Amino acid sequence: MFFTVRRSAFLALCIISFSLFHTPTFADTSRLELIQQRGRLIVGVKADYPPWGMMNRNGQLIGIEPDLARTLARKLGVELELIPVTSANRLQKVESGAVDLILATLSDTPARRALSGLLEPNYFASGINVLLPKRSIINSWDSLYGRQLCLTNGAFFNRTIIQRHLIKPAIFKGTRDTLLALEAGRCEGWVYDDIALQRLVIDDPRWKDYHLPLPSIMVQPWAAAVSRNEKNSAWGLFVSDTIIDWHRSGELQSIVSAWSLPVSGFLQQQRTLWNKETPAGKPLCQRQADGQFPLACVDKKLALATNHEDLKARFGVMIRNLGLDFPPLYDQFSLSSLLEGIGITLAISLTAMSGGLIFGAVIGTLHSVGNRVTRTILSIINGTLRMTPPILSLYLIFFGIGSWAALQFGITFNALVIACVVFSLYAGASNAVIFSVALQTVRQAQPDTSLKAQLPETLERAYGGLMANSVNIVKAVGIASTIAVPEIISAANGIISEHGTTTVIMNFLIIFYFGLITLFLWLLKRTKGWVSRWAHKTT
Amino acid sequence: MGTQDHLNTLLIWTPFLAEGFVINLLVSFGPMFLGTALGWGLGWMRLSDQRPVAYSANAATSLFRNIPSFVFLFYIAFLTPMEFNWNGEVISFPVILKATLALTVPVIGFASDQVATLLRDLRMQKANCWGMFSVAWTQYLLVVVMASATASVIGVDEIVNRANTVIAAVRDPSLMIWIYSYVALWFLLTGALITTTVKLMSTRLQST
Repeated sequence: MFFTVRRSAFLALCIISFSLFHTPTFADTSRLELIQQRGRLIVGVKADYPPWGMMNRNGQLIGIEPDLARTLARKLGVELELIPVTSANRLQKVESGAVDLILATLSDTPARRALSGLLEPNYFASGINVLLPKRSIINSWDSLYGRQLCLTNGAFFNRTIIQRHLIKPAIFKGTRDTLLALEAGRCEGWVYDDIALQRLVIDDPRWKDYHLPLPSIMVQPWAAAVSRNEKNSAWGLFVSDTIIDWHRSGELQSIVSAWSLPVSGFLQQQRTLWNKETPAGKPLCQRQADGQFPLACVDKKLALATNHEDLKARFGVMIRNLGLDFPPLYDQFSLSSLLEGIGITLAISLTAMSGGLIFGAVIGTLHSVGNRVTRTILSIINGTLRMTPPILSLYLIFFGIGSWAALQFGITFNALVIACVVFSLYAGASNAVIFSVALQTVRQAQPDTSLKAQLPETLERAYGGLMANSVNIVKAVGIASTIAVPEIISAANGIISEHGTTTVIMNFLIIFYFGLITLFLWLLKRTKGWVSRWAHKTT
Repeated sequence: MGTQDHLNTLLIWTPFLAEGFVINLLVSFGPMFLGTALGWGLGWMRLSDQRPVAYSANAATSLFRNIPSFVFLFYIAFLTPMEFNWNGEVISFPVILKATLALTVPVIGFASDQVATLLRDLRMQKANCWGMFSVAWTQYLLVVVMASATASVIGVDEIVNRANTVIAAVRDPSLMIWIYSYVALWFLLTGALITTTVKLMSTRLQST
């Protein structure tokens, strides 16, 4: 123990001293010279974000950002090498010097400015909007309060929308399922990336009854980035000046239009801004003596961001370096959604187990004591319940019957209730078979006793099978995530999409479930002793 | 749209849905055979005289038995790449293979238990050992066929996924109940087929 403490203390010391004395190696040796010497510019772009950065059939990187990189290389008179980067590794690639620059849909935030050399001015901005039916009465962002709205799993802004606008979220997997939900009346609108929603309304005539009446919110500018130490070097200034040229000349706007994106308000506004002149005929926006732009020319909020963000970002990086990146440890929202997920998983599990046992006992008993007709009817119902995959039952009730009931009677079912019912019936149908067989065996052995007296032994006989079914239904509970029940898998998906800590969260999820199933198995084994003791006492 | 139109729509989309159901059968039988083969090894090891071997086989079995395949689907989907680089050659790792692997996990646990019982019974020279094993195996096939529908969540183009595609394409909310019920019917018929097979096997077993 003592040894471990000493070892981890030593490790911490190493990290601290490293961050204190780690001076940038190539502090002012010019990267611009390096690029010219090697005759090649290396730019990191996205491969999975059409039309900004994507792969074509031949595996080449194409899109708006590759096109922008090409104009830079042309201006420098060098070749261009494009390297695919991801949201998770882009900052690390540019900081380590593996690429000269990243143009990779990077949203500009104070935290990122503290970590890397994000350049001004911003070259694009995207925001959040809400797709509404034209008949909707929602006419402002404030009127979303308390309403049920669809969100898509994986969007970084989901949390802010939930917290700031106090909506009732229904979070679906992928855009197709979200559209289905919107159409089935499961929610009053769809809050999503404004570029994607605009493309939908413009390109797809089937969405002609929907529109985007509200202004985009949470508009986030995008920034090109060089490494932190090169931001104010000749290289950083060169890229920054080029971005200004893109805005002034309208080149940026024409490249974006060439990839058939709708006209962006941000680009229009930037073009006007960078072309404004002082009464003396000089550009209004240009770099001042201290290297900064006038506040009127850049994003004020970002330019004035405090050191507080800087500290938080560094803390996050330190935790990440220690391999401890479990967001619920340092993020209250992740923690509460995870705890809620665990609570809901347990609640559905217990409800489905007990509901299944009750349903199984009732149907099993009716089946054994009933006449031929009753037995046949019960067998058909039971077989149908047992042989429909639960995921299909969830879709059938939630989307199918749900949209019908909404259209006909204006009723909507609660997703959590649907999940509890579906899992109770699925487990119950299998339980009924086991219970019925056990009861028939007992009735043959003791034909003269009352049903009540036969019950304990039946339960004892059926116990193994009922136990197996109960554990199996706990394993299936996660399927409820497909109809937007906020159980643990939904919570895990949410945390992953916001923080990108896939490995840690997925391992946590697997360990949680393994522990949960092992716990239930252990509890059920303990109860077995009680049941058989009770059975022998009563008979 | 009236009932006649709905039935027509179902008829039009039947070949499309049927193709999807073939994938369901693939991701059911694939895991059944793969899982049985792997579980066979584990079950055999559990009866070993060497305590460490038996102990680790038992531990592995409980690991496979206690991890829900639905959670494992996400695990594999999130943590394995879409493509591998093997000695400079790019090998793709399609979702259908990921789903097969995920659904194999519970089958390994099941098969290990069944094989351990089978081998023990064979040593004790009990009657009908193989018959009992086949009945249990066929019964479990039903569970895996039901679970194959969950492969849709990681994008496997099986019948439930295709049902959603049809709904998105036809865009008539009143059709949803019809499509989902129709797909449920496919599972029901398959389930009935499996159950009948199990009954026939059991009857033959009792008569021998």
